[in-house]
Amino acid sequence: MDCEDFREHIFEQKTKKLSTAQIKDFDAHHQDCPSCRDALRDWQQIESLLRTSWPSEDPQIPFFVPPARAHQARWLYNVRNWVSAASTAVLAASLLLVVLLRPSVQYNRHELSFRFGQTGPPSEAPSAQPVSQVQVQAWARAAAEQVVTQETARLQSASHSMSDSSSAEESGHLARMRVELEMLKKTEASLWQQVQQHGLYLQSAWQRPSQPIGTNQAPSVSPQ
Amino acid sequence: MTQSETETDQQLVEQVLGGRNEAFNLLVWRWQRQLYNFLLRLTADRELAQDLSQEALLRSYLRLKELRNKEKFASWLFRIAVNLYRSDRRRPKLPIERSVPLDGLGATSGPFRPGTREMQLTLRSLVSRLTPEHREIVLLRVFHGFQFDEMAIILDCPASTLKSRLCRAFEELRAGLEGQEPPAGS
Repeated sequence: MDCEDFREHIFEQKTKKLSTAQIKDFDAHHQDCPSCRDALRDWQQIESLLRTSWPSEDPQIPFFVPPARAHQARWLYNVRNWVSAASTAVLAASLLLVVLLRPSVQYNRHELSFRFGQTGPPSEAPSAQPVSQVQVQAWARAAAEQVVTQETARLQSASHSMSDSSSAEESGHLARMRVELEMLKKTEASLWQQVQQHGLYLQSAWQRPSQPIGTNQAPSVSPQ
Repeated sequence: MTQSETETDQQLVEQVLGGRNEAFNLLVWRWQRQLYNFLLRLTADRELAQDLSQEALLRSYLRLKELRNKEKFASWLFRIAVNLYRSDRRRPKLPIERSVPLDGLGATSGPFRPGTREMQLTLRSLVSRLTPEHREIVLLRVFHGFQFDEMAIILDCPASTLKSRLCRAFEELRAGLEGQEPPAGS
């Protein structure tokens, strides 16, 4: 062990971090090297002097108090987030249905007819079985009701999972959750009503014999 | 000895992460004084040391989920403090922002050993004149007893480098003390 190694081991030697072989080398160098012996003595003196001459102080401020977090059970957070996500999903699903089904209204000889999935001329190629308006309405309603049903079931399971020791605050949150669910149901019903009203609005807007918008056909492109 | 005193840092961290926020108060109770005094000796500025220690504790609380080795909470906390201190050091200071001289700190409290007073003040002055990197490791080692592997986490530096750095720092202190009378009775 040379002088540099010895000095780097001084601090580890104090905390007994050295192996038996290292301790043996350390002691041997300590015996042989007066310079390192002096260094060890002086460093220990400096360390001791620093500790005694520089006492610690108490902070002159109140102890740090962690900011209070809203006391709410984790499952309640999850359910709340899920309800928010579910309401967004209902709206998104409704819009998606409108885009995918592309409802069109045709008025001919005082007779109104709805068509779905086609905006251009009817294709001559064999297509899937035509979908009636009633079917689409049933699908949309079933999808929306499914969301509400799932949400209701989730809320009920969350309610059952509440232990007897649940606080009044958690009960309050649960009550608010129920209110939110009711609002979600009302929103769903309102949305459905709006979809139907929108259909009636289109019907009235297209009842113009001079300019039958609904009968306009997209220009057909013949293959070259 | 109460149960809170026997619980390890790791157990307390796990309790906080499990939702028992009060457990963090015990971690604060355990480490705030040490953290504050480390920063006080490092900055020689009480107000700054208070601000930095509060900020470090707040950040550790908010980022507790990011702590991987939960048994290394103290090292992690001190690392946050060191990073805050380094960021503050890089910030340009206004002329009015001046540090309190280290020589005056704690002058009227703590044990007083006749015959060593001058040397004590000289030594503290010498520490204040060390480079920040040397001062950090001297303080962590002498006053807080961190091991090299812990200091490697705190200072984000290999342990081998820290050993060399600590040796050089002690040699600087030793050279600065040459000519001083040895303390009586030691």
